[in-house]
Amino acid sequence: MNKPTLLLLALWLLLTPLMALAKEPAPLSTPLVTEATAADTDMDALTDGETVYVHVNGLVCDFCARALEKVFRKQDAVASIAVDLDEKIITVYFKDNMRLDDDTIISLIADSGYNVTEIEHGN
Amino acid sequence: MSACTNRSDEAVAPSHKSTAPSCTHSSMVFYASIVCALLFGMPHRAISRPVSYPGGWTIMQKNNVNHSLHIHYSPTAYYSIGYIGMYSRTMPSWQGAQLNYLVKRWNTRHSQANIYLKSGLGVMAQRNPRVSGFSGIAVDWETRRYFASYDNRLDTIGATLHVEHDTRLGIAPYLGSYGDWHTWLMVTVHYDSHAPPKLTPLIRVFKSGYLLECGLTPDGDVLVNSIIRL
Repeated sequence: MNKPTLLLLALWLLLTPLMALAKEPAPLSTPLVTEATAADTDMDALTDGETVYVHVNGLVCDFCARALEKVFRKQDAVASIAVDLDEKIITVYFKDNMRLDDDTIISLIADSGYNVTEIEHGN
Repeated sequence: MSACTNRSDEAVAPSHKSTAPSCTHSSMVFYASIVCALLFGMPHRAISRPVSYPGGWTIMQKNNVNHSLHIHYSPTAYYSIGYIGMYSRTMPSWQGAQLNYLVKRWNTRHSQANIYLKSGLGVMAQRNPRVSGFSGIAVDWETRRYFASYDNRLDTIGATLHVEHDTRLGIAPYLGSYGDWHTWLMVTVHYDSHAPPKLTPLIRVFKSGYLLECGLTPDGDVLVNSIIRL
């Protein structure tokens, strides 16, 4: 093994445990929003608006998650959004008395380059 | 989530609102990209998907023996257009415009695969500026654990016609959630028409809209790539 490869391997061995440690444990009480950020999770309690759980195909990385987050946050009706990469579910929290219909949700996701497989409505 | 009701499977059948772009607009972009590919034929190697979400800006920077900066805007999720600049130790700088087009995407529950066309046209900063360009195809397949990609480029930027190929394989040693630090271990093989294949191991660190890659080539050159997705 040449020197550059050894250096790279050493760097990886050093960094990977730090990355894993930096990963926050998922909350156990909310299985479909397990990756919501602290701010997003708070929205569930702070708003009486509807919550929708959208099952999406093609969610494989943070860029995908960020894309959908950006697209939905541009919508006036949306209070917040959480993306669960493990379950491939995005959770959309709506503002009080506001919502997006299913066709609009499907369209927003399709236009972002992903596919909806199922929508579940919460409260 | 305790009261999940009103399942709407019918309304969300996979065929509904297909990810295919609208015919007229996308066809024009597709043919424009093909024309660029045929007419001009080095560019920014694919270090990640070259098209963002609708309205998204992306800054992609690559540094090794050569340096390049690509800033693009995606009007839709199917194409992006922007500035490309390349700087080399051995050549004058080259600057121009680049068009990236998503030809086809396959989304499954656990993976995503894409085919992109990338073309650019620009001018080299020299006493007698000459219009030149590049074109290529990029293919990638990715799950949360594995990554594979191939891209090629045909360019007329240098003194001679130049063809390059890059193949990359990667594995994520652990799976992080959205917003966590993600790490990928990757190996890229670069081959061009003027040199033997070159294998470069690298590490990718990725969090939210920020991506950084570091590697070392067999020649000892440090490779640093970065992407910021706004």
